[in-house]
This record gives sequence, structure tokens and C-alpha cells, in this order.
Amino acid sequence: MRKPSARSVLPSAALILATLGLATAAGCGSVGPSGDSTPSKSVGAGESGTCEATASSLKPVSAPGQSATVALGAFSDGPLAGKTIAFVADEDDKSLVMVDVDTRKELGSTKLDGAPGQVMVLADGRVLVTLRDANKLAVYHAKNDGTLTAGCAVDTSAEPIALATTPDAKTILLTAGWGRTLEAFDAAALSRKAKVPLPREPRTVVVDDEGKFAYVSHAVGARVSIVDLATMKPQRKLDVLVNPFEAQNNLVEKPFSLASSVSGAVGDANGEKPIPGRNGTRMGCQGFPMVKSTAPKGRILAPQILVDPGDPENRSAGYGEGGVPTEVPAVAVIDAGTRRFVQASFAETHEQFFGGEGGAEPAVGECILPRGAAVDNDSSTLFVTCLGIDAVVAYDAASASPASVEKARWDVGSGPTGVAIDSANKRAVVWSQFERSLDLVDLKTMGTPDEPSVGKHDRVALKPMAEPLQLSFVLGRQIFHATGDARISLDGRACASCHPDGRDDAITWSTPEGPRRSIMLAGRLQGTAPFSWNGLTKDVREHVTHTFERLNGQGLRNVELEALITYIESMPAPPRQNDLDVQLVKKGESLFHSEQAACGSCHAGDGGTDTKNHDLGSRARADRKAQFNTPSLSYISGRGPFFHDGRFESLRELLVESDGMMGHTKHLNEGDLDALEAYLNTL
Amino acid sequence: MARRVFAAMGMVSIVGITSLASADSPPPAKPAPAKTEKAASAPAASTASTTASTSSAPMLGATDVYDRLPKGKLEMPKQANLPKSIPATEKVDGFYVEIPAHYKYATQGPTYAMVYASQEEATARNSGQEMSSKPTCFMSAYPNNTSDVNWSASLGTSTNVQNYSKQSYPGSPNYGSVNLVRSDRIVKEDKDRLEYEVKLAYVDAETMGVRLHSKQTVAFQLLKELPGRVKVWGSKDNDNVTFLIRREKHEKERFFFGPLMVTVNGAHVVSAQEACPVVFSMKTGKDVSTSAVVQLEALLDIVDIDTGDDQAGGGFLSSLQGKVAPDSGVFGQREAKVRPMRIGVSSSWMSQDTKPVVSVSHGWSGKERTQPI
Repeated sequence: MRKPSARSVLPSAALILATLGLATAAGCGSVGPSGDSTPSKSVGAGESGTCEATASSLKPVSAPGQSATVALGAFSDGPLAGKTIAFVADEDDKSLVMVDVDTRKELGSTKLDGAPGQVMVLADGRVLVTLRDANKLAVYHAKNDGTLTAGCAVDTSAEPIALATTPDAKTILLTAGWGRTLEAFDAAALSRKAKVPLPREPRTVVVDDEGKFAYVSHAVGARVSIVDLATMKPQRKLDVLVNPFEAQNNLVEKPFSLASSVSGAVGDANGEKPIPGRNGTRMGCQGFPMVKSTAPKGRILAPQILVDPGDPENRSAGYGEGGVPTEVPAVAVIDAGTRRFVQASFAETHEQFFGGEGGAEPAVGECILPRGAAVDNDSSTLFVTCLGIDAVVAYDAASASPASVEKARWDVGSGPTGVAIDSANKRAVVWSQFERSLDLVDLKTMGTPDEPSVGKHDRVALKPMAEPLQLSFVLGRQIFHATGDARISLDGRACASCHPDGRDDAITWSTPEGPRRSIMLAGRLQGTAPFSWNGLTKDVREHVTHTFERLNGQGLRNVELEALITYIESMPAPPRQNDLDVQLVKKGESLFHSEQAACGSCHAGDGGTDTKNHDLGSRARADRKAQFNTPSLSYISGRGPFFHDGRFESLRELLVESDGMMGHTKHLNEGDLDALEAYLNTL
Repeated sequence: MARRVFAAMGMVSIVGITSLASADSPPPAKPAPAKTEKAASAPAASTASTTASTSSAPMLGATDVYDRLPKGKLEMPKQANLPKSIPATEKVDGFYVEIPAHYKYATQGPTYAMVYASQEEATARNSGQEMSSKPTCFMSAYPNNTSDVNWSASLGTSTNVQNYSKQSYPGSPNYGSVNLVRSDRIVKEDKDRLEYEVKLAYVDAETMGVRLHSKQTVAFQLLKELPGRVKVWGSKDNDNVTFLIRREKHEKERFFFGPLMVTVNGAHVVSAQEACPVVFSMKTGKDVSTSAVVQLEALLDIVDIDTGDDQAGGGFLSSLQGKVAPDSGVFGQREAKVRPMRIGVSSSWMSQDTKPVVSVSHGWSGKERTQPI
């Protein structure tokens, strides 16, 4: 793999300092994880920079108040005055790239101290970047000649990804994916004001028009979290569970009206929760993007997919063997006033649920790996970038059921992760990470009778990286995200469908062996063979081949399989949490290896595996076998629900409820359990 | 895209269609009373009397579409009070009833009759002549006095009316020979305004007598013009927004092909054949959100094929078939460029909306293809 490059394109002294990491933090306070005031521990590029805004004529052009992998801004003075500038978070090159969209010219690239997650241009001219693998939020100051000056960098929880500002511009909100938090920073000084624990894998954050609530999407777990910004407490979570049969029944009951034909289609946390896979109930997944519409206003749009994992109570012939499409694209609409899903928002995907007249169809060409989203309020259009099909898809943002009709789609570079709208120039700017290119999509003819059948656009390729990525890694990543590829699966899913970001989808699938939770891959494969819950496969190659067979995929050629394995084995693991209570962790470690708890007897070493199968009495009704291979506990903190059938929602529930199945935990008090959990979270 | 077009699914239903109430926006606080013309009291037709603005149709992202809709209401009777018989002397303009020709040679008497707009139209349909671009369209209801009227849910240039008294299937109920039939037609069409008439009549398949039930007209505003000469029109009343969607005839098109099909939740709700429109309503109350999808094959173009000598006078085929005048059009080959299209219509009134948000969008659900016609 390529090592981080020290290349710096821009001839700015400040930038050189920043790139070489010679700066030191000044005047950049933050508060600790509990909310109390603690000094910032800024390092690297942001050590000498200031957090506060400096004089800059840069203003956001796209999506003010929300970050993306590409953000647009414009200077009101200087040589670049009036031009649309794209700020690109280049994860592969670990750099922030500026591109003059009007001239298609790359202005420069600024090396970062970590892989950027997303970038946002603030109204005061600052450019904020999350450094995903460095647990930092970095500030850059843009000058009107196209150069960037490093500002401060502040600590965040593990894996900062997305940003949003409140309408009063006083607060910056940040999601930490692996850290499972929403954090609030004072916008001026970037001192941390609060931290809110969230469920797994939060991704995008959107603030409502009044600044009262923040909506957070989750890549897995079928939910949207809503946080009350006044109290900084979770206000509600919305579960994406859809039962198309209920909707159809309701339609039958009211045959003379098109209205109100869908009710009870979407459950939420306040009602009885249907079981995914049972009676046709589908659950949301791949909830990476989310965006707010302002025309019409008060609508939060959450692109995702709806998954039918099969009934966990029954064995299936293979993954996704239900005679219905396994995964269908959807856009959940949330009424920002009621903070509930609009029930009709999933209505028109039901045709896809049932597969039409010929039964199930593979998801060929469908957007089942949505990653970025933006709204053009002038045309009430929602744009979603889709990995796998390498396209940006347009939906009607004003519809109660946006995903029912694709207004348009454009092929873009490989790996589109973000999109920004340049409304004034009627274009969308799409960043494709795998191809390292920007596509400029002309929106002028969209929706008119003269609309071309195939959208036209320009593509701007970034300058090659000084140290290109290993070719097998690039190919493997491409294969990992390929949807609708018969070599991989019959139902069109990609490796990334069950392993978003190389992790797991939090879903329990009906399989030929019984109910099975997907397994996290990133950073977890080394030393954990044999693989599969029953320890059936001796190495990664055998396991991948076996999985393709279960997916009814035709299989890969040897060179492709090797590339895929290269990627799987080298995909970046989640960053570790910085703010550990060392004493608590030590106590937990001691308990873990204690004779009574006896966790370490099977989870050898630091939460590894003894590689053996054991019968813990955990056999579920549909399980063929009673013995299960000891799973490695590495990265267990972000892998719930737990056990092979996902029976334990949380780590604490597992520790308490599994007493006697493995070791013993009944004797542990709350403090001990806290300690044990704290230790497990470090594995 | 892998979306399947024309998925045949589920139950069939019909949408509520009612009479013109009043015209224009803004909507009154209370629902306007229906002004359905009952045949007994007002035999003359009243045309739509709308005064709404004729501003150009919003093409994209308009959140004020609802305000642009003319006000009017079409209403269907919930229950039919079918007469036992209608004298043969009773007729209604626009309803021509005839027994299909093949019954001349049948040993059993006719078990159904066909309804057309006129005798000329019947002749044209039965002899394969070119279709009208704005035909009168029909839909019939299953005869049942005791439950809600159950419409066939498909508009076409003709419909059949069953004579159940002549049917002798084991166990089949004898509903008699009178059916309720709906007749739709475009009375007037301007650039962005359309006047639509719906007549309901009882039709006796035995006597071929016809009795008017009601006659209604309503105005529609053009909401969107789509590729393939597809136009989406809208109208509103206090509780509903009504959509009318039709595909206009191509200048070179002799016969319409492909239906328009409306689905809700993937279930077929209503459809239209030939040049007939689909017309359907959605509720528009506060906190009510709903959507539907119309599927069709958009006819993008018709091109004459350059058949060279085969058609123009030379070549092997023409030597067998005899020469045909190049401009006759009789045997000229044509190809249609078609593409499956989905039209999404939605009405949603969420908590921060001051009125229903009515949206129309369209997209392709398959690749463009060429087929001979």
C-alpha cells in the first residue's frame, strides 16, 4: 500500500508548514468527552493555526450548513472572483483539493494529517474538514488566490465523518462513525459543547430549519436518530421497517380512494416492532446520505435501501433466496414538523418488493449503495450518488414517494461518494473517489420534453497521486463495490451491501446454515481463521469462494479474486477511540481474564480466538449445527447486535444475559460491567 | 434500470370522479356543493365555467402548483340504482349500442352488446380504420345494486355491456341486462387548459336503450408536458386533486399502442387504452400524503423506413408483390422509437406546508428501442 504522501502543490508557506506538521495549536480550546472543559490536543497540520475565521471572501455555494465529500464555494474578490470552486475531500490522497469548476482546472492540493471524511465551506469563509482516521476536525482558511492556510485541528470522537451548522451559525455538529456520537462544537472557537451517544455507524447530520432538532442517518441498523439540540439528548429514533403486505391490505380495504392507501407501512420505536424478514418485513440499510429540502421546506430526505433478509426462523437455500428482490432503493421522507416518516414515502417501491410479473429481478442497475445526496431546491430534485452503478440518480424531492420514479441518471466516474449543486449555473458537481474525478452534470434540460435520453456532462480528472494506490487494491475495491455483477451474486448485491465500509450490515440473514449475522471485515481478518460462524472455511480465499456460491454468483477469475482478497485484507480498520479511561480499562481487562468470567479462555490473548468450535447452548431453531466457532472480539464495540443470530442488541445485554453460556458474569456489579465493557471497547 | 414495466398486479379499482363544483382558486373554506346535472332535472349539458388563470404550466419544482389548479369536482355514484329495462326508444347522444356481428351466426342469443361513441365510430373500429386523436372513451361497471359500484377501471374507445339474463353459466347470478356505463371525452383543449366531460348512462344490452344518469364537466390545467407528447393535467376540489394524463397522437400514428397504467403500492388501480386518458384523484387533506405511478411506453418518434427498391418498385419482394406507389403509405414500413416511461404524481400536505404540494415527475424505466409498426 501507498504511504501518505508529503506532496504539496500549493506554494503557500502556511500550507508547507501545515503539510510538514510544524504548526502548533493556539487558542483552540475544546472540551472532553463528558462535556467538561479540557484543553485541545491538536496535532499535525493544525497545531499553530487559528480556529476563528479570518478575513475571507469565500462563501458557500452548495448546501450551506451541510458537509459532503465535495463542497462548492465562491470568492467575491480576487482573481477567482465569481468562479465556482470545488473543495474535494480526497480520501485516497489524504488531501483537500481545490478545483475551478468553471475552467475545469485543478487549483491545488493540500495534504492533510489524515484521510478526509467530508468538507464544508462556512459562511465566514472557513473550510472545515473531518479527518476520519485521525479523529480530528481541521480548519482551513481559503484565500482568494486559491490557496489554503491551515487553521486549528480539534479532537473528536473516533472517526469524524459529517458536519452541519445550526441555522444561527453558532454551532457545528459532527458525527463520529465509529465513536457513535453526535458532537456539538462552538462554531467560532471550535470548543466542544456537548457529545450525544448514538447507535451504530452514524453518518450524515442534518439540522431542521428552526435549529431545534438534528437528524442523523445511520449506515446500518435501519434507523434515523433525532437529537434535541436544546437539551442535546436523543429525542427519538425512527426505525425503518416496512411491511408491503400491510400496505397492500390497506389498499384493498379502501378500493375507491387512492388516498390513505398506505398506512402502518413504517414502524417506529413507539409501536410494536416488526421482525425483519418475517412476513415480508423489510429493514433499511445503507443509510449513508441524508439531506434537507427547503422547497418544499420541512422535509428530510433519507436515501437508503430496503432489505429482505429472509425469515430468520427458517433456513434458506442461499442468501436472498426469497423469490423477491433482496434489496430495493428507497428514499424515506421525514416530516420535520412531526419528526416522523411520511408513510407514503416507501409506497411505490412495493412494486419492486413483489418483483412485478416475472417475480424477483436482480438489482441490476439499481442504486443499492447510495453514498452522497444533495437537493436542488430550484427544481425540487434530489440527487443521490451511487456506488456500484457509478451513477448519480435524480428523484423528485417534492414527492411523497421520491424513489418511485427516477427523473434522470448520469454515469459518472467510479466510486461517486458526493454531490454538490451549483444552482446558479444549473449543474451538479459529483466527486468520484475511486476514479478521483469530478463530473459536471448539466441540469438545464432535465425534466423538459427536450431532455436527452442520456445525460451529458464533463469530467475533470485530478492530477495523479504521487504514490498511486496498489493496482490490486484498486481492482479489489472496484469488485467489492460492484452491484448487479453476476460473478458475485444472483440478486445483484455487492460485497459492500452486507459489508458497508468493510464493516457489517447489522442484519441477521436467513442462510442454509440458519440465521447468521454478517461479519465485520475491516481490520479483523488477521489471525482469526477459520472463518464462518461454524468455522467451515480455513482461509479468506476459501471463505470468499464459499460466499459467492451461497450468493449464487458465478465466481471470479483468479486475478480478480486475489485483488478482492488484497482489498479485503487491507481495507482500513476503524480508528481507535482516543479518550479512554485507562484505569477502568485495566480493571476490565483483569475481569476479562479472571477465572470466573473466563472470557479469555476461549477469546485467547486480547480478545482473539482459540479457533475452536463450542456448543454454548445458543443453537436457534433454524440452526443446522449447535457448535459455533469462537469469534475474535476485535472491534467488538461497533459490531452489534451480537451472537450468530443477533439475539443480543447491545454489549451490555450480552454480558448480562449470556451468563453461564460462556463464562460467568452474574457476579459482576454495574461498575464491573462498565469496566468489562470499557475493556471490550478497546479490542 | 431494471424496473419492470406494466407489472400486472393485484386488485383493480376505480377512482372517484365527480361533478364540477365551482371554478378557480383560492379554494373556499367549505367544500363547494356538487353541481352534477341529473338527467331528470337538467338534460342540457353545462360546460366547465372556469376563470382560473391560464398562466403557463410549471415545469419543474413548482411548489405553487396547487394554486394553479382550476377548481372542479368529478363525482361517481357510490351505488347504482339500475332500472330493470330501458325502452329501445330511449337514446343518449354519444352512446351507440350494437350487437357484435358474430352473433348473427351464433345459435345462442347475444350475451353482450358493445358501446361506441357513434355508428361511424363502431364501423371505424370494426374495420380497422385510423383512430381519432381525441376519442370518446368508455368504461363499464359491474351491475350490482347492493354494493359499491365496481368499475372495470379501464378506459377504451368501446366497452361491452353484459346481458346477464342471457348468460347460462352454472351458478352465474342474473343481474339483468342493464349496465352503468361511463363515457369520457375532451370537449375543448387549449394550450394549457382542457375541458373534460364525463357522462354516466344506463345501457340495456337487451333492448339497446340508453338512459342518461348524469353529465359533468370539469376544467384541467396543464401541469407538465413530457417527452412523447404526454401531457399531465390537474384539477382540484377541497378534498382531492385529480390528475388527467394522456398521450397525444403522433402525426404518423395510425393506431395507438400500449396502455397507460396507474399503480399505487405496485397494485394496478386504473388504466387506459388507445388515446384515452387515465383520470384519478388523490386526497389532499392536512397530513395526508400519497403518490401514484403511471407507466406507459412513450412514443418518441415514428420514422419511415427507406426500403429501397423492395417497396418503391424494384427488387425481389416487389416483383412478387407488385409495385406500390412510393407515397401511398399503404404498404410503407414504419418504425416507432419507444421508451418505457414512469410518471410519478404525488400530493403531500406535511406539517410545514400551507397547502398541498402537488408534484409531477417522470423518468425512463428502460432503454429506448425501435419496433416496426
